[in-house]
Amino acid sequence: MKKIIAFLVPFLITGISFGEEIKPDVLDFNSALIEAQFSDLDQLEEYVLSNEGVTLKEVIAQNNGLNVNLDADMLNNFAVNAGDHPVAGIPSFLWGCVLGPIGIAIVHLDAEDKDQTRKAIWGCVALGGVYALLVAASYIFAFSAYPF
Amino acid sequence: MRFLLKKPILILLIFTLLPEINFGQQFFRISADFSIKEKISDGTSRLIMGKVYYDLSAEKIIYDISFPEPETWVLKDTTLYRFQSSELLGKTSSFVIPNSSFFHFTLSGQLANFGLKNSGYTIIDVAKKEEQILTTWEPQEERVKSSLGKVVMSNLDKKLQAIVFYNPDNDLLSKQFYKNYINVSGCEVPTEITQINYHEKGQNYQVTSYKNVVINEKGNEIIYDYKLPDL
Repeated sequence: MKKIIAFLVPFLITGISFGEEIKPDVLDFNSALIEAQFSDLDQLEEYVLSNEGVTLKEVIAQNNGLNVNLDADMLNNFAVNAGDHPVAGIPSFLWGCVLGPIGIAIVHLDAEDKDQTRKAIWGCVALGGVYALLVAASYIFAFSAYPF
Repeated sequence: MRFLLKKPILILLIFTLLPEINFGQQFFRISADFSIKEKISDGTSRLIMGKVYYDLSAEKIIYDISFPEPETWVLKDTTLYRFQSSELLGKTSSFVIPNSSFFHFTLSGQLANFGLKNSGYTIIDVAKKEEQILTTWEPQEERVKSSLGKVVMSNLDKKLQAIVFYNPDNDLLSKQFYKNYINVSGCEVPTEITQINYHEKGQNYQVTSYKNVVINEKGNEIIYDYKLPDL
């Protein structure tokens, strides 16, 4: 009998007072707060449903009294963890910067991501810029050191 | 004698019906119209609408987006592929893994415990609040505990009602509420999910709604097993 009581008591205690880590109100749902937060978006949703095929650009252009502070780049921001997907974990900018056109080609073929290719191109442009600056600096140095 | 005559018929019936009984409740596909509304702590709002498809064996989540712009997103493993008019726009890393997603858990009957039972979590506390069962989970392995915290969930009639995620320091990370369950062909599907994410700058609110839910749709292979570029 004692064993049964000893087994049951911990369950009864947690049942009555909750476990240490469970705060009873953490799982409470504040529906009024949520409804208030989303009333403007609910209106926009209704508008989109009743205007099939409408796009965000059209909604913004039509300016039809919807009072919503819309994120203009919402699709990109919605993309789950729309972070980098660099080739071999190396930033695409570095691929272009270090290997130039070959780096751009590698990123383009491997990542199949226009954003990554663009970054590699900028890396290549930066490499070209640095190279041009170095050449210009060396000429300036040569002319200043050995005036003709 | 009559019983003996009936017996083989009974056995035959049992064997004929058993597969139906065993496999009749297996769900392998789900599709629905969806909308995701989001309120960001910086004051901006987002809305994304379209249709979503998931096939248990293909393990790809396909979002056929109509708003804000027509695009198709395909989630496979840890990669999100973005297509516009069937042309690949790009791919990005994703932390949503299809076989650990809401859709997978719903079809495989794991939503009640959010798949934690098969994810190295163990129950450390059970309590009752009114009609709801509150369960606290924590990672089993010590080395995992340094990166993942406790999870608290509430269930009513074996249906997940709410789930709360903490970091290892017991700071609140995220709350999700599962509401308006509907029964579609025997599959219980919550049609409204409210998520509150907590971070340093404040709280982000997200409401996902599902309508026109279809379970075990036949055909339409092209969309359920969306062809991805050869890698």
